[in-house]
Amino acid sequence: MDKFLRVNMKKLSATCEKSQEKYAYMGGRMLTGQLLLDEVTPTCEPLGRHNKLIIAPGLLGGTQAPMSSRLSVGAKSPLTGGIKEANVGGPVGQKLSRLGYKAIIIEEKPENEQDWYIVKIDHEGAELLKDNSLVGLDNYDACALLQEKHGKNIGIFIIGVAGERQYPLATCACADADGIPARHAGRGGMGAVMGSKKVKAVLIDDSKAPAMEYSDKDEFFALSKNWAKDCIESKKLLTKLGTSNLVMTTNLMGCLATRNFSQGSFEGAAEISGERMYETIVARGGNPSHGCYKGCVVRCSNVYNGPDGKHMTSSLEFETLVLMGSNLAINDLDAVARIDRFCDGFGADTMELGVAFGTAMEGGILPFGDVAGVMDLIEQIKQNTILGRVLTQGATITGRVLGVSRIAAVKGQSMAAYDPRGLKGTAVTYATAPMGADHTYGNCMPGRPGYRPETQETPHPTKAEGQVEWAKDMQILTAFCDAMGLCYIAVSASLSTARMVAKLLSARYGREFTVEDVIQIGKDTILTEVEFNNRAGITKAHNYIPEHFVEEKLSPVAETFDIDKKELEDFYDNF
Amino acid sequence: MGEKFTVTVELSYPFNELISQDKLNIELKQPILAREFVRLLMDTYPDLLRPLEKNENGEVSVLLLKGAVLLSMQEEIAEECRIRLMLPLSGG
Repeated sequence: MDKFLRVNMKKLSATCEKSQEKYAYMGGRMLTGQLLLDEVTPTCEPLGRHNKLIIAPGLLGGTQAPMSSRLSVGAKSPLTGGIKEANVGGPVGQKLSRLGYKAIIIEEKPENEQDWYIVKIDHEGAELLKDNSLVGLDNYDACALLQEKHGKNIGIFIIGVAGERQYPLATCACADADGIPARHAGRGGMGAVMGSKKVKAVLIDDSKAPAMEYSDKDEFFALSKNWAKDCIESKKLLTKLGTSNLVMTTNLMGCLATRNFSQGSFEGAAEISGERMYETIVARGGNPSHGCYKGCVVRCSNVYNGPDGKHMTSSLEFETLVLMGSNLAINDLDAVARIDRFCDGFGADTMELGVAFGTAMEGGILPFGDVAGVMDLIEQIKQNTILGRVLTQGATITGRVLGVSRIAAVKGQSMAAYDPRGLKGTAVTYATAPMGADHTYGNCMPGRPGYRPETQETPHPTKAEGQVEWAKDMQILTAFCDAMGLCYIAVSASLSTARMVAKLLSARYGREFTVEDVIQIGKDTILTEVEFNNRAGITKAHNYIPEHFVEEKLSPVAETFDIDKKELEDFYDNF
Repeated sequence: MGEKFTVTVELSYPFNELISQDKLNIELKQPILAREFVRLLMDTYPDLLRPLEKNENGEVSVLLLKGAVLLSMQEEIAEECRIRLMLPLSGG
């Protein structure tokens, strides 16, 4: 795995090049960040020709290591103006790795912006195909057509209409193992950057890929097998209920985002819970434990059927259930599933849009709990009305246009499903992450310790003490998982995972890696991103939680966000 | 020595399936730290350990929820109560 595919949309060329030695042990998010720092002017226009879209599997991508098919998608974000890496599951990461690609770099823009293109990659190389036949299609329809034309096993990485229109909440979708556009590099508008390059889809055919090479194959396979067994045992709850297992727990803890983050628990939580979803899925013949690619042993995604027993959406995840559910005071599981289906097809981030809808409700555009009103907003988005366009600019712009001051966002990106006053370690990550309020940058979940002795006991989620150090650890642990292409949820971002990764890297590449090396990969990944933002003008001064969370107590935990701003500002000093 | 008291432990998934019980009644003779209570549970029902990871101090990472409050491992359990045993949070 030592080559880049450089797609130049001005020259309309797709060229393989050997990667430089300095990138040899970089993968996933570490590589997207470093390439952006090396090749993109941080002050460039995100949707202009100087920005680049980088698509990179991890250092363990394509191997037998469990849950190692995550793909990093990076660019300067049109949503935040800073660096972004959106991370996505599905088989595409695995396929790219098997073909030997460390990264795809899509740069420049075509001089004729009327036409759209598809990048097709196989064992012989890559080609750029002019193809306007998919433009305007829903992701579901486009994926079905692509599978019909290129076969069921083709890997599909695609943008929907949101990406074509360059909305800052546009996603890049990866078709899952069933060919459904279920997995999304959702955050930060990576789909808009791809759309700005006029690339509609990247197709990956790995059917004739050579076998992966290992320095010590027997050792690698033995390690992977044992690790997979451990993951199956420790992640049984995820396998049964998926990420939605968190709905009832976070509701009980009082940090479930509710009514535009004005409350921490929702009276209708049981109706949108993992338990209710599990019963519904089983009763309707769906699949509650579905793998987003074939090498996943935890299988935390799901296939959700409608009342008629036909596929409605997959996968319905915690963040969507909350931000399109309790955050809007909607307790109707089918309604949330319909919204999710729209977002998957249209190529929109359910999280950013959910918080934008909540902001619109607070701004009086529609009442909380108004399902029909939300469906009307969706219609307006499809029709590209003025209000529809405002909403698709994300929560921050929606709030500004509507005169709403209580906006749950940092650096222009909306928060995830946890209220920052009820889960303060994650809130530290919201405040400090170079990518905006991104829980996947370092989610501080009770019971998940850091890697240093002082972070072995996780702080109480509503108490300020200890959260900053814990958040640092979780950010570093998550960053190395992202650099490896590992699903940090399924394998756990932990020191034991770092130990396993050190052994796997050694067996894969024939060079001795220590756990300290792996931790350093995490730190380097983050510091590269911080440096990009500094050069873009997004500095430590931007590390804060909006004032209303600092001043208003959250019901029912009766807490404000009370971590000193100076600690947030200095977070990455002496990292 | 104080009076004996009973702590009812509600077992969330997958603990309930591992030992085929939804709850346990643990009788205590004196107040106990949450950390020690977890050790007692695991010593008595070693199958509960199966899905748990250990932290760097050699202690299992597990959550005890009393009502809506997560217990700190340094917190004392000193009276009759109901506690929910949960896996560390995962997902999102």
